[in-house]
Amino acid sequence: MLVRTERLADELYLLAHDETSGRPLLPDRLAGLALAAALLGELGLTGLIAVRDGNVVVVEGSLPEIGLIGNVMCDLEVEKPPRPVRDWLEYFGQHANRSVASRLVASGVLVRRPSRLPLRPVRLVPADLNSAAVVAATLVTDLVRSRRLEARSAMLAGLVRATRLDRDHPMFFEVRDQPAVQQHLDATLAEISPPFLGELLRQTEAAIASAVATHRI
Amino acid sequence: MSETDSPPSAVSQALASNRLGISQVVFFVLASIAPLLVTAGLVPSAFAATGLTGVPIAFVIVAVVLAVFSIGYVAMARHVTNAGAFYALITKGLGRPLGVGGALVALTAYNLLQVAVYGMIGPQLGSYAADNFGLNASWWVWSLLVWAVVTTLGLVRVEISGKLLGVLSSIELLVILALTAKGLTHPAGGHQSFHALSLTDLTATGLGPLLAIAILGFVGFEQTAVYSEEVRDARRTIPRATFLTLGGIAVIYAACSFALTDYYGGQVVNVAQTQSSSMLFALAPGLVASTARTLFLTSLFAAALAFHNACWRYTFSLGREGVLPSAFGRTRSTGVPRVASLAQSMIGLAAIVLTVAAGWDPVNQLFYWAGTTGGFGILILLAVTSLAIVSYFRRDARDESVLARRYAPALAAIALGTMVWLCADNYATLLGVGPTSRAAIWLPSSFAIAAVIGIGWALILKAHSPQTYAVIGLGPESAAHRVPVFSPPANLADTHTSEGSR
Repeated sequence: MLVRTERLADELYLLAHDETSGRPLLPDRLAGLALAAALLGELGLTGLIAVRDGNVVVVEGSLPEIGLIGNVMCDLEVEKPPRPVRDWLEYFGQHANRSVASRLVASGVLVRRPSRLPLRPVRLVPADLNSAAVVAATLVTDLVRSRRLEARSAMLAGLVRATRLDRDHPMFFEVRDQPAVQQHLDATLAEISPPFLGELLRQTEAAIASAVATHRI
Repeated sequence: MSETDSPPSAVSQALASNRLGISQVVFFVLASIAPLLVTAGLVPSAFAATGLTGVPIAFVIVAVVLAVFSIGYVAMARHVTNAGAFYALITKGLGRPLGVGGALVALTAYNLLQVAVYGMIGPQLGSYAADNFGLNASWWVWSLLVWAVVTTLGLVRVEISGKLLGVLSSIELLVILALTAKGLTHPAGGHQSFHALSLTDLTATGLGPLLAIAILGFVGFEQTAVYSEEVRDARRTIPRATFLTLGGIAVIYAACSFALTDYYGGQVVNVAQTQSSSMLFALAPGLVASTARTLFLTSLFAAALAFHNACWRYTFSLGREGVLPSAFGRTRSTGVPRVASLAQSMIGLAAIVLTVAAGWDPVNQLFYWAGTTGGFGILILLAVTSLAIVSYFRRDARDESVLARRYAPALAAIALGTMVWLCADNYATLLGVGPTSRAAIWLPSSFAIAAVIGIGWALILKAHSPQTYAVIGLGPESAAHRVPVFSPPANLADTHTSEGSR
C-alpha cells in the first residue's frame, strides 16, 4: 500500500534521495540547508511562524505542536532575541537530514534495510518505491501544464530549483531550464502567501550559492 | 551574523561548532599563497630579472604596506557581503560601474596567475620525471597532464583537497625554514653581509618591478575575507588570520631570500640567471633538497588548483548576479559550478596551446610574464580598493576606528598608487625586455581595456537590466536581495525576465 506524505520536508527528502538505494542525491550541507528551509516552510504554511525584519518569529497564540515540528517550534521560541532566517537555515540544516528521515521512518514512509555487505550502514529506503515517484510526477505535471500551484507545491518546486535537483533528477527532465515553466514558477512564487515564504526561498538560494562559493558543501 | 549576549545560547554554540576557526582559514589561504612556489620559483626570477639584491627588503616593504591596507580591508569586509571579492568592496565604495570594471580587472589578473602556473609546473615536472624516473617528454605534455587533473578535480566535489593542501603547506614552510637555516649558517666568504637589507641598492627603476614581484608573493592573503560568513567570529577571526598569514609569510620570504643573498654573496644574480629554481634547493643538498623539490611540485599543483578555484569563484559570483551569463552562476545538484569551472579549464588549455604554438619559453613568457602581469593587476586592485574603503567609510563610519576607516586606507592608497606608477613606468624592466617591446605596453594595458569594458557593460546593464544592476557586487548573496517581480504570462515570455530572476 502506498504510504503518502503531504509534508513539505518529507517530500523534499524523498526527491533528494535515490528511491531504490536511499543514497543522497545532494551534498550533505546543501541538502541540510534545503530541508531546514522546508521545515521552516511547513511552519510558515500553517501560520505558526512569520518573518519580521528578516528574523523568524513564532506567531503569538500558536498551539504547541509535537514531534519534529514541535522541536523546531521549541528552538525558535526559546531563542532570544529572534534570529535571522540564515542562522536558522544553518542551525536546523545541521541535523535536518537525520531528523526528517526519522520522521519518515516513524510515519512508515521509509523503512530501514540492512545492507547486504558487512560494515555498511543501514539504508533508509521508501517502503513503497512509488512514494518519491508520485511526489515528482505530481509536481512535474502541474508545472508542465502551468496549473495553479498550491503554496506547498510552489515551495517544493522552488526548493528543487534552488538545490538544482531539477537539473539532475531524471523525473524533472521535462521542466529543467524551460523558460515557460520557470516563468510560471516565478509568477507563482512572486504572489505566494504568506509572502515571507518567497524570502525564505531567496535566502535558501543565497545560502546554497554561498556554500558553493566557499567550497563548504 | 547576529551576536548574542553571554552566555551563548544553544543555537549560538551549535552554529559556532560548525564554523571555521583561525587555523583552518590560515591553511586554506596558505594553500593558495603556495610559499614554496614563491621562494623557489619567484625569488630567483626576481633576482634574475631585476639584477637587484634587495629582494628581502622588498618583501618587508610590501608586507608593511599590505598590513596597513589590511587594517581597512578587514574592517570593511565586516560590513560587506561577498567580501572576498575586491570588486564587491569597490562597488560599495566607488559605485557599480567601477565595481564591474574592477571585477573584470580581477578576472583578468587571476586568470593570468592561473595560466602562469602551467608555465612553471610543466618544465619542473618534466625535469623531475626525467631525473627520478627516466621519463622524457616536452614541458607541455606535463602541463597538459596537470591541466587534466585540475579540470577533473574542478568537476568533482571541490572541497576534498582543502585539508590535504593545508598539511602540504605546513611541511613546505618547515622545508623552507630548513633551507633558510642552512643558507644563513653558511654565508659566502664565511661572514654575514647585510648588503641585501640596505635601501641604497634600490633605484626607482628597479624598485617598482621588485615591489610588483614581491606583491605577487603575497597574492592569496586577500582570500581570508572569503570566509567572513563561515567563521565563528568574523570580527576577530578574519583580522587575526589575515595579519598572522601576512606576518608569517613576510618573515619567511624575507629570511629565505636573505639566506640566498647570504649564501651566494655577490654571485646571487648570476646564479639566479643560470640556475633558476634549483638555486634554493642547492642550499642543502640531500634529503632536504629532494623533499623540497618534491614539495615544489605539490606547491605548484596547489597553486594551480587554488587559482583555478579563485577564478571560478569570480565567474560564479558574477554569473549569480547576472553580470556574466547566468550559466556561469549555475551548479549541478552536486554543488559543482560546472560551466564556471570548465570555462577556467578552457582558458588554461588555450594558454598552454598558445605558448606551444607561438614557440614561447614556458618559464619566461608563460610563468614569469603572465605571473608578474597578474601580480600587477592585483596591485591595481589593491590600490583602487583602498580608495573604495576610504570612500565607503566617509559616508558611514559604522563604529570603526578612525585609523581603520581613514588613515590606514588613505596611506595604503598612496603607497599602493605609487607602486602602481613605479611599476607601470618601468614595465620593460619588470619583464626583462627592451624599452620598446610591445609586451611591455600591451600586458599592462590589458587591465585598462578590461576596466573600460567593465564600466561600459555596467552602464549598459543600468539602462537595460536595472534588476541585475541593483545586485552588482553581491555575488552568491544576490538571490537574497532580488525584489520579486510578477512575471508576464508565459505567452508573453521574455527570457530576459526569467534569467534575471534566477
